[in-house]
Amino acid sequence: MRLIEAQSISVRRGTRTLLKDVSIAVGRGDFLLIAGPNGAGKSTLARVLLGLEPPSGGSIERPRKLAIGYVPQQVRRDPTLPLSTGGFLRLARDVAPEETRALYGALGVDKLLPRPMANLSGGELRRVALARALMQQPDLLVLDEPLAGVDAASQEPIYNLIAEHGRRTGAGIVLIAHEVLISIKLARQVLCLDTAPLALGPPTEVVASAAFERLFGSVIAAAAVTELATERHAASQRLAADG
Amino acid sequence: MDEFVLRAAAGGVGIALIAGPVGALMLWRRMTFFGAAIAESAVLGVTLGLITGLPPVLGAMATCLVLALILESLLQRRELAGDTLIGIVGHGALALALVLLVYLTRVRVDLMGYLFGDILAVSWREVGVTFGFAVLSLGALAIGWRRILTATVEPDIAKAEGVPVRRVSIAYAVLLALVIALGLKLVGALLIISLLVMPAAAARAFARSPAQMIVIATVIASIAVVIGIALSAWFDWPAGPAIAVGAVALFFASLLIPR
Repeated sequence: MRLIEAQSISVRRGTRTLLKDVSIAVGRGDFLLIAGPNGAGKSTLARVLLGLEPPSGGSIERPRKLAIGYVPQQVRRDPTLPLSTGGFLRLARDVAPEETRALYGALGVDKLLPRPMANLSGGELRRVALARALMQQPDLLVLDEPLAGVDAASQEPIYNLIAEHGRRTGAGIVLIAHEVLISIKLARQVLCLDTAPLALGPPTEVVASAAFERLFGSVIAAAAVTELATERHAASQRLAADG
Repeated sequence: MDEFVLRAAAGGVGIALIAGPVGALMLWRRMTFFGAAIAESAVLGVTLGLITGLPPVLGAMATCLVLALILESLLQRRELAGDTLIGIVGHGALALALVLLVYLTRVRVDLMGYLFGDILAVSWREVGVTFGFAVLSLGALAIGWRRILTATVEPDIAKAEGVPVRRVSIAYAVLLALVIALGLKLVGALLIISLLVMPAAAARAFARSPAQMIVIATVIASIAVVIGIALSAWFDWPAGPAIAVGAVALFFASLLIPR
């Protein structure tokens, strides 16, 4: 089932072109990784998909009642608002503590609950925003660098958690990330973006493309190929063991 | 106690009831100068009312509403910063009001009343209107509370999640305009912002949640009103400014609270 489909999206601001002719489609259970350098238009694409910014051209289709979870690149922090982290999360939805205990624990959010949101660090704030997005069980998750500023040791487990959440709930996932080596193993589709789309397809195809190597360099490109091969090997071993 | 003092206190507490929540939201939404610009435009409304012979409060209400909506929609454009647009609209309205004063030959004393308030001259009917308005607004805020707060904390997340962020923004601008117009008679166009911003800012020192901040701001605003009316009754100070002086004293006292 299609959750969101964008066709030939372009965004111009003044004389600057931020996005040019980008088309993507995300369905239930899909996992789209958007990768590209700074200023490539990744966040702009996310904001256009969410309806936060109008595109200059192209069209976006999505069901009218699509529940969306969004982690923006910047989460606001306001010291004049005496809001605890727990209060912020409860604002999203009334949930029984048992329901969110496992999620908050896995994200390391449980110990942040009594603290004022304004005093959280950048990494902590992203964990909280991610918890808020996941706890609402949305149809579509749009995650704009959700792990920027999150410590290196936590990144892989949290990316696995996001992918697992998608598999369990059937939510479509759009992920913007610079941690390409970790996230590419989980993605089903990869979009290499640098204002215009340079490559779009399954990870194994995209990492072998010239565009991928040009964007990320030969070292990362080679590592990505190896990672994907290792992952495939491990998966087939698991399958054999299970079978 | 004289009845007019009682009436003044009742009217003041009525406006404090709504100044608490609207003031706290004004701080959180970074709209203090938006409010100040609307208050300046109230002067234009009063002037227009006095010239045309319409009730000045109605003139103020209409001008405040129109300019709040114009300003709210201008702020959606991103080419110019908010403070710039606010400066243009507020000072533009004030300048126009001062020009139009030329056509007002007789009743300048009235105008002073609307600039600085005349809470001691408030009628029971006006007290009733104030309380009615306060109850309606508090009800509306309570119903929309979760959406309003989400839109205030993180508009982008709120909008992505389906909260009608723009509608919240317009509704709040309307509410702020109405509170300012209503506060004219009590504390005056130039001082109503004091009653919105100072108690809410003072409440920040004590509050551990948004709801607490609103309740404490309401209590502090009520205390400021009572202090102001008492000062006015004992020392014959003008009541509007005396209320603002009470509020600012409470704000500085709140800075002494260890946090």
